Amino acid sequence: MSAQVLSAAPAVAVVLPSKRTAARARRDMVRSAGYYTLCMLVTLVVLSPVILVVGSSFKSSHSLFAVPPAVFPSSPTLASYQALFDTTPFLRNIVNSLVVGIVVSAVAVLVGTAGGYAIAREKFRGRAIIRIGSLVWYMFPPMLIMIPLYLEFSQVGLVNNDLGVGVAFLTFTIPFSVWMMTAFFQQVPYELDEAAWLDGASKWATLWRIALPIARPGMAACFVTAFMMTWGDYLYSVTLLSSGSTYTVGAGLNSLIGTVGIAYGQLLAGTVIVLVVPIGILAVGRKWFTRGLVSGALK
Amino acid sequence: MFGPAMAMPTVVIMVLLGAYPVLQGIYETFTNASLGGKSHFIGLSNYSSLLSDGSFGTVVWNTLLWTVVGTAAALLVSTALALLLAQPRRNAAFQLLWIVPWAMPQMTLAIIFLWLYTPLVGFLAGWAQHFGIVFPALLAQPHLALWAVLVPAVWSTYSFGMLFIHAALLGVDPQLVEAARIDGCSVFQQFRLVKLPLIGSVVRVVALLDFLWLFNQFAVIWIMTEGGPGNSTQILGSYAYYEAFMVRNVGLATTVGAVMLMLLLAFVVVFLFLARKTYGGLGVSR
Repeated sequence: MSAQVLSAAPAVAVVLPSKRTAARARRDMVRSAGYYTLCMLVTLVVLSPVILVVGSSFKSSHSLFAVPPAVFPSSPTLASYQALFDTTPFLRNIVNSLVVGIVVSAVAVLVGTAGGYAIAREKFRGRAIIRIGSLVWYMFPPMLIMIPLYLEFSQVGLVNNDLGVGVAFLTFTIPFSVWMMTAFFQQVPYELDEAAWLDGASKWATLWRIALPIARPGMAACFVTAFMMTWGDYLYSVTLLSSGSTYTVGAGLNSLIGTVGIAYGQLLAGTVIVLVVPIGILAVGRKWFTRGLVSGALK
Repeated sequence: MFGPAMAMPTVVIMVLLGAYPVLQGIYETFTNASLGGKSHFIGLSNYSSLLSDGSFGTVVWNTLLWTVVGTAAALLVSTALALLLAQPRRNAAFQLLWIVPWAMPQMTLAIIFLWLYTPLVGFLAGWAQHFGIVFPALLAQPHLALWAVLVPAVWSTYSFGMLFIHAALLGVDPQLVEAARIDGCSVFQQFRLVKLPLIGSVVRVVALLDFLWLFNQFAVIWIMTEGGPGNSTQILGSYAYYEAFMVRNVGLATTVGAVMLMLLLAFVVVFLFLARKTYGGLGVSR
């Protein structure tokens, strides 16, 4: 760390205080202040969309269009939220998104864990194809998957159906979870499994008793990320769902952007609700998101 | 049979929800399939009509501008913020706050900017009016709309790359940077001559991911402009959607999708060729 290199000089300076070190300390303090000011400014800019939407979602319909528009209303009100839940089935949409997202993410984690373990641990023909295939599939233009899928779904009654949208969500959660769980198992030392086999454990027992307990944090991270992906989906929800009772939050929000006019208060309130879930997850899992995310993806 | 049995669910889903729709889609590029209509084999007509279609050229050009400028902008922001985060004085709280846009669903950023940009009653227009300025209808002007829409797209793109580049910067030996500083390198030279060569492979991976992310973008464009005005913000992804669900011409829409696939493959192959010396394929082990 360059911090250690730099701090070597002040450590000596404590013994022999001088004008020069005092000047250096002052310069260091000015630099720190400058650095933190810059970081605060960046934070303000980066978070400005969130700050503005949260502030304005608590405005009355009158103050929303006041000139100049305040960042935070002087008299906050829940009117926009009230209108959103009174005039649209948004509560139902939230429930739909939660149910579909949790089921899909659970399926994705199960399939991904099994597939990832097989790819990382077992040697069989075609495993390279599965590994590369999952990556290629993940990077595919979603349009080329979604449009044919829509035609198939419309023939078997899976259009405007939450089951259908759940199946469609598997097209991006499965390749993600397979890729991520493979990377995870590759980080777990192979010797652990080997020791279990040498002690006479079957492969199933090894998976059940050794690999799965170790994989639990990886599976949790995979579940949470998959859920965030389904929660934020726009393309599949908007294409496959056409009525308020089946809408997920993505389709629900989209329906508020009418062609004639936009009910901005309700739209902003809905946006805040959609934002609360992933930002809440980020806040709770902050350690994993700032470290594990990168190490998992880089290795 | 343990391995194949464990991989079986993955393979089944990959075939049913990956390979099958893609092959079906590629087949449809040779038909005149429409939403709810019968389809006939029409050979390469979709491809020739795309090539002769004047708007397709615009769409390809927009896609190029969108992805190249967007990737460059996202890389610039990612690198600048990662350098700030990697300072010795750093505070982990900023890292968490700066990846918030990554956690925000793209549609929320699109909706927020749609509202910010709204003429007359939007947030920016309100402040412009307060200062006696007429706020331009950004999304209604063909030469401005693409850049206005790119802002939230880059906003939602940069944080992931920032995390990667930050992690790579922490791996740079500080003594090298210190040596460069003592030798009289300016802060910029320290970055360009010492840090950048060392984190180059990670920056390239980030560039590839940003590119793919922007290339496949749909939500931001569709929410803010639906590709308009005219075709000025239409990129390949939104154009395919437009053809499929507005014009209901599935054959042509899947053809646009197939063109996307070909461009993507060409790009990835060129990328891997250019990057072959620094690391083996996409395995990304530094």
